[in-house]
Amino acid sequence: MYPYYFKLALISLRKTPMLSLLMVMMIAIGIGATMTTYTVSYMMSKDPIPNKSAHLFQVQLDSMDEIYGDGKTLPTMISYQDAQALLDSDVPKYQVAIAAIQQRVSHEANRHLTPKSLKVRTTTSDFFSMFETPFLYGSGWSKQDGKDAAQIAVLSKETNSWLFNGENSVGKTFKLGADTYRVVGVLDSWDPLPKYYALPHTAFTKPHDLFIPFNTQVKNELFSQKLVSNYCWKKPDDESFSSLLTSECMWVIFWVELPSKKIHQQYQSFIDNHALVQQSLGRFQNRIYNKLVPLKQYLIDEEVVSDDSKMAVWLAALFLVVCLLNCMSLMIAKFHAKAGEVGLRRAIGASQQDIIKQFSIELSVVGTVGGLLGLLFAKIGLISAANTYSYLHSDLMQMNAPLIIGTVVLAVISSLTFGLYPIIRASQMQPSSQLKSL
Amino acid sequence: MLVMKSLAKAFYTDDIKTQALHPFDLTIQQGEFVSIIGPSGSGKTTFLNIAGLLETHSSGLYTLDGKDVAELSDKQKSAYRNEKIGFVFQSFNLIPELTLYDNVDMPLRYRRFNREQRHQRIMQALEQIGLATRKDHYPTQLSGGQQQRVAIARAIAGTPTVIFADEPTGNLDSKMAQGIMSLLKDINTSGTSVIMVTHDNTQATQANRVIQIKDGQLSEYSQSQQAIA
Repeated sequence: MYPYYFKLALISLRKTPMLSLLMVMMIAIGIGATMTTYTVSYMMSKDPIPNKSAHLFQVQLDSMDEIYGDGKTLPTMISYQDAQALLDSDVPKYQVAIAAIQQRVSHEANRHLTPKSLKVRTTTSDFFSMFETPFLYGSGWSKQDGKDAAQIAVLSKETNSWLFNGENSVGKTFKLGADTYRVVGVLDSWDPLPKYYALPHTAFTKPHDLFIPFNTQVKNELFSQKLVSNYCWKKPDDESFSSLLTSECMWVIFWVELPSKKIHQQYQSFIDNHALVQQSLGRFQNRIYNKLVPLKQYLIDEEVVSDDSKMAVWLAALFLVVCLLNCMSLMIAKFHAKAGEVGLRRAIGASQQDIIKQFSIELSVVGTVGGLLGLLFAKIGLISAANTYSYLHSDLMQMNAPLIIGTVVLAVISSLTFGLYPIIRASQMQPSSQLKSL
Repeated sequence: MLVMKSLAKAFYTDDIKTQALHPFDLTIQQGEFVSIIGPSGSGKTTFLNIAGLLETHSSGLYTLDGKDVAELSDKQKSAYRNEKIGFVFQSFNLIPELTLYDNVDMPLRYRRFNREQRHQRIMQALEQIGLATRKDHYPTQLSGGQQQRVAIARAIAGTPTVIFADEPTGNLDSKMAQGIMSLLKDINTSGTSVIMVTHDNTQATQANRVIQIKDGQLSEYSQSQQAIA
């Protein structure tokens, strides 16, 4: 019967083209607006590394001698001296200290290439394994090279294209500030969304242009205040870089991968012991309160998906409801006009269920066309949003397959939900009263 | 086949009760051709709607083929209307967007016949009314008489036991009306009961039994000479 109902649906829609168009447009506009905002919100909040997000934890230490915030939250950074102490642990599968600098980069041999000031991620060797970065050429640096503060780097694909025309640049050198660095690896396209490992306000920007060892930053005394969140609850002794390293200033982000509960417990003990030792040395005076924040919790705590974004989704959903209510009134008008046909079909043997099925198919067709058109509207909305907010990650404005399917399904379910009342009402009327209107 | 005992129908509007049909007894046997006559507003169509299961009665007993219709669910009533009853209306009630073929096909679809069975029945019905060659035409391309023939084809395609015809010639001129009457008589001759509402006494007397409704009261009017088929 369903192919028959489908045929009847097409005939019915052709019979009232203007009404059908209005219904489709109502659904399409509502769906388009909702899915535009929902896509951005969904892409913001999706799990950036689903295969291991449950095992990634950010280390947060209360090294202060005062209450921070509401007493429950802690800074998302730790001090350099704590980072160095934690790096000595062999409990985590991987552990990564992260900071950032901005430096002038140039090609040693190619004088025609205009130097650029690039953002440089400084990190430890586990970074590439822990965050599963894909490599186009070479690899990350070894633990030893990291410890030795070697003048080596991993380039992003874009930086390699700019510096070395996209060729395999492993072994080649370039200038970072005044120093020469050797390329050990080139990343393939890698654009995690959100960029979970760094500061929350940079979650929807591209990864930095190149990566150098954390210790190399320290050795060369490189520091860019504007690229790190440096929380100095206690002033350093002086302005020097060495004072920064021994100070209580918190500017290093620290992540660990803990593959099991047992290892998690071991590592919690390790950082608590570290805090106790430090307490005996006069630090950590406030309390022993150290947290291993799971990645997903970190994204929630840091409000990577802003309340404004969530509010926009609710407002768009409300708009969809308004559109659907309008559509519902059109459907009531349509089914009122079709009362005679309903009466006739009931008279010749259609049950209430047959009528509901027939018109549900018609509504599904309206919903599907509305959904497809809504998809187009959402795409246009996302393109214009991408143009307006060009500094944001372009993937935020992309619908993936589940969202595309979800859009059409939502349109069909919405139109069925809101069209069900007029259909049921029409099917429950006495056929004799409807027959008069054919 | 059709037995009504103390059957009555009343409509209620706010606190006002309108007795459309006063309690009456009626039995119609299989194969009868019965005319229902009476002035406008007398309750003829209400009677037909109740008899055709398009409307429920207020009180009394109505059995169709031995089954108390009050006990039938909506689905069962729909199945009864589909299998045992055929309707012919004054204004034809064809769907203008569907071809003659598809209009006749409608009740067969709800019978869940397969494509071949439906095609056979549709063509047989269209041939019986003489419009098989115009199966792909639309109702608006036909005259009133032809449209009513298609409505009859739709009613008989499912080989019902009874046809309820509500003023089937009301919108037709006398020549076309006579053609429709002949068709109904032919159908009756083949064993299908026909219960026809009309306000035309000449046509009414072509039936083998005439029932008069006046102010909601039913009474036997006369007995025609025509033998029960």
